Amino acid sequence: MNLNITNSWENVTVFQYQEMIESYENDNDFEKYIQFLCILTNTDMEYWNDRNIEEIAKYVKTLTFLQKEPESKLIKEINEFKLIDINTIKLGEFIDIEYFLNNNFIKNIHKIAAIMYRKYKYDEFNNIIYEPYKNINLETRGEYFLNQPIINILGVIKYINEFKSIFNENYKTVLNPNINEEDLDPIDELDEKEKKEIEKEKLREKWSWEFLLKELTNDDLTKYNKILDLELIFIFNQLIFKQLFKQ
Amino acid sequence: MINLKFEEKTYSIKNNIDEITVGEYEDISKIMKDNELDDIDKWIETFKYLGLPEIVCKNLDIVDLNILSSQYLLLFNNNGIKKIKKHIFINNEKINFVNKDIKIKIKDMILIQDIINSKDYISELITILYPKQIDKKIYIKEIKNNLTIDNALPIINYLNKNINNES
Repeated sequence: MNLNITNSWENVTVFQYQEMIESYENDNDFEKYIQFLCILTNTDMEYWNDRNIEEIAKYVKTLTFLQKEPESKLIKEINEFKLIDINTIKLGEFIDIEYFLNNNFIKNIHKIAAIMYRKYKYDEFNNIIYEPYKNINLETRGEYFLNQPIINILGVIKYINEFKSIFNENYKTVLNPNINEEDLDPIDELDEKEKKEIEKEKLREKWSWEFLLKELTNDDLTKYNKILDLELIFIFNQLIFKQLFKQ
Repeated sequence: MINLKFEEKTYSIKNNIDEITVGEYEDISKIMKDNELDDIDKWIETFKYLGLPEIVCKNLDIVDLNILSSQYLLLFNNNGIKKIKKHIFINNEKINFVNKDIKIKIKDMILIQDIINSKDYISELITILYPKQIDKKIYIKEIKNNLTIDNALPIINYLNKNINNES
């Protein structure tokens, strides 16, 4: 038996990484390592079950790289795709990224990559023009990134999280609920009006993007696409201005 | 067997791997792992467990204790125990190894990993590698009471060599 098996994260694809993360949940360490071997050699458990444990010893040695997290360097170009500047990200793109980050981001990392890496061209003035987000089928485009090395893609998560950290701080008055429950009396001592306000704020927090779109479009659904295509920072700057103006 | 004379009486206690049962070996291992006991107490508790009266244990001098304990260290060091057995006998019933190659396969190892922290590790190991179609609890009891540790030591040696060295 002679299988080629990688001894570094450089040759592990996004898809393989996702499968391996699922296997990490396995309490049975031995079975977990066999699952890693299956993923990295494109074999299944049937292939390994009837082999002697001495046979796999040499393969287990090559898996020592798994004891460290893969490097997460930020790659600005992947073949014909270029990383967009996150400071110019559109509202619709950001909402989708948020959704994928908050719902098992490892499982969705290829879709996040599909949003952040775009085909591009240059106009007559040498300005970069990215393919429109609305033209991208995330499922199909995501499949391309499933086959990319994980070390080339993980960096984009850190890039997004660093942006989000600054964004959340700068726009916290727009993002956070108006009522802080810790400042309130216990729920039994609140009157009906106050209880309704709290419920409304909880709902607002849960459906925050929907509320934002409702507010920005004055409930006009026909305007949603236009708003989603505006830059995130532009929109939030307008909201901040609106808040200040009200005061 | 070791024979000890004390106050004109002779006491016999098991010390060979073909005398000590799996259950006794497991119990002795637990005594040896007990951090509440110091080294001398561990040996005294072991000899008491094997049937030596407390009064004899407490009157052993340090030389006797050293000689006695060295007999048992051979047991724990598993010297010279090499080959995994093709079959074992429990109450005259022959039970074959789980496969004809007499090798531990990956599917067996996955099952072994599940019981690695069990208090009845060795007994459960035997149920996996010498399977018998009866209730597991009953089988474990049979193993503990009627199977001697020489049947299990080659497996333990093999696992220590192949798994611990590679981990």
